[in-house]
Amino acid sequence: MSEQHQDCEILAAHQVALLAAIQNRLIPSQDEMPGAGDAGCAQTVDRFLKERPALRRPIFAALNAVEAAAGECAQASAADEASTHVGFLALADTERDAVLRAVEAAQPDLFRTLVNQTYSAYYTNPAVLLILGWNPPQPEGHPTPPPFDEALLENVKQRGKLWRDA
Amino acid sequence: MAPTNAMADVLIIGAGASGAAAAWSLASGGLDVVCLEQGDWVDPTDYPHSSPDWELHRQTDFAKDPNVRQRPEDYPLNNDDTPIVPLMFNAVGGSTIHWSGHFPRFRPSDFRVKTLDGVADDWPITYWDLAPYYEQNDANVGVSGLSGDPANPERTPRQTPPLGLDTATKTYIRGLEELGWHWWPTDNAIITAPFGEGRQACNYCGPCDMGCPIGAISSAHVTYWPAALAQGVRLITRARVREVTVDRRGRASGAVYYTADGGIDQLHARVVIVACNGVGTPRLLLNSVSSLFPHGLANSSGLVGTNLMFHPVTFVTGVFSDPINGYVGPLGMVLHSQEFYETDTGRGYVRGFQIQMGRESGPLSTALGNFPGEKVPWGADHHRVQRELSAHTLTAAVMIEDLPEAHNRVEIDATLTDSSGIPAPRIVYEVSENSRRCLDYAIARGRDLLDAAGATQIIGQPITRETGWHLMGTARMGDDPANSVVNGHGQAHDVPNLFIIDGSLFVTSAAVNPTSTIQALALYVSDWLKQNFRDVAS
Repeated sequence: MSEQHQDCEILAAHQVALLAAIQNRLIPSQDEMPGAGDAGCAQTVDRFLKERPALRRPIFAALNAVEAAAGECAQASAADEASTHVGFLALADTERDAVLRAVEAAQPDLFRTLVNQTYSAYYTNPAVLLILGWNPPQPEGHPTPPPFDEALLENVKQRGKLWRDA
Repeated sequence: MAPTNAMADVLIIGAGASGAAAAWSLASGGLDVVCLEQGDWVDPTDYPHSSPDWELHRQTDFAKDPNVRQRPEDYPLNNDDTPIVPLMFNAVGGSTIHWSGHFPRFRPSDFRVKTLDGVADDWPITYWDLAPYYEQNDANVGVSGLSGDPANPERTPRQTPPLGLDTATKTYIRGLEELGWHWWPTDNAIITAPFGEGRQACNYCGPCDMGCPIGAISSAHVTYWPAALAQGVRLITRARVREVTVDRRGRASGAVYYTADGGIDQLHARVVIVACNGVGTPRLLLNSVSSLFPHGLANSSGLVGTNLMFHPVTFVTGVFSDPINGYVGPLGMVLHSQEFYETDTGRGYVRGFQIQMGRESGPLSTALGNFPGEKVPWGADHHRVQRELSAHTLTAAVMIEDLPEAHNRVEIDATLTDSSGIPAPRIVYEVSENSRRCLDYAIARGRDLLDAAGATQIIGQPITRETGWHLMGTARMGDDPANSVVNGHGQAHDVPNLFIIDGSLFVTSAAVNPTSTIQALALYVSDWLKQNFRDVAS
């Protein structure tokens, strides 16, 4: 995935790692489909943030919310009450999903932004589109279908005039 | 070519659907026409259709909502008090660059709703007044379709054949025939065979809503504008009008506008035509305040900006077990049903609706739930659901007639301005109880249709916010100056050399897409103006 190794300009390295890990739970790898984080979607979202500064606040807030919820999750499950802060990256996949569901329930608007931008990055990724078999609409377009068959309208025609004089 | 500061016969403000048609018509009649447009020509290389991230542009530079798009030529809108937001595109060609090309006509009854159904008002003109201009407009722009629809008066053969018989179309027909409903191939401003110069027939690429890079959609910048420019019309782009000016007699004298480089300039004309759409036109008139017109130009009735009508729209999506490939072909309507178009009070509301048989778009649209209305879930089920939906859905739009209500309005926002400092519009709108009852009935019929067509799952949406494509009624026609802004020729009651030619004119909205009627009205008004120019301009 070409964007995976590009430098990010808005997100810090630890934020890129966190976002990619989140994205791999939002769109996980399955069969031939890559996970969104593995596909480089964190780097693509970084580009979105550069181009659309209004997205920065909600994305940063969403990342912070996930990290905070991960800390609470780890504390709740820790046998040792004195354990130090543990972030999202240290959690198992099932725990990560639980954290994301908790953030989705508590802060739906922020989470929606995270999902929307991940989907936007994934389904405009050339490598993903290649696997799905999608080409851009132009310049080829699609094959022209057979001509319309006016005989199909016979029943409608038999009903006669359907509009009011005025 | 005359300098731009010379006195023109006619100044048109706005180079969209109506402004383009009027420019061509008036110049064809020998008048000296100049047009100011706040946008620019769209560079054909700007269209995103050949890029892998083409769907992303729906959310950015080709978004339908100017508040999202935020191009330099866009103006902001305060939409805090409306459940439906106005959508538009600011460029040469206006919102016809950014549309689906649906080109139905109003019915005769749409002009007589007071007489027939006891609601709203009749128009001061009839369908039959406009009929020759509908025909002329179709011939000028190029329409695909099929004449003979028994739900509408006869019309001449369409310029190109209807769209082809693909899987989506056949699937809809199966349901419509089972229900015994009216249906017909829709008139679309999309050419399916060679027509006009420099335009290609539709190659079924899909996303018409982000412009048509091959000129198959009959957008005003590829239909009227080349012909208008050849007639000598002077089109000034990146010219954002601040106000229409008036002379000491209270007649329109021209306009003051901001130029592309941020300067300010003025144009003088014998006649001024406002063609800025149902939001931009009242905004300009209300901003054109003077000692003679302290409440805005042509606003002695107090009606400028009021009676705003959208067409409330909802979508009903069917999921099919077999592939439909609904992404193939123009995004918009392939067929329509007017089975429920006329009033039947037994249904619990007055007036009616049209069902438009639409398609599907690309994988991002599917994932975001743009048509299914529900986002594909994240997590372990994501790929399965995405596979089940992608290329397996059809979405029917139900579009109802919106009746005029004075409290639905465009006004000037107290603080919001565009980048030139011109006060921006605020939209105040609510969906009426009659409309809600009509929508409920219409959604149920949409479900009936998709069920009959074989859908295994049907997803209905509540009223959809980003559907304010049709902006109407805010400077309406009428014979009574106390109850209308312009007369039956689009001439302002208060200012005899000021004309309005866009959707603002509409007395009622019908239940069909308005552009065909907007352009027919522009040609109708222009014809009258040509015949009466000497009297009007003196």
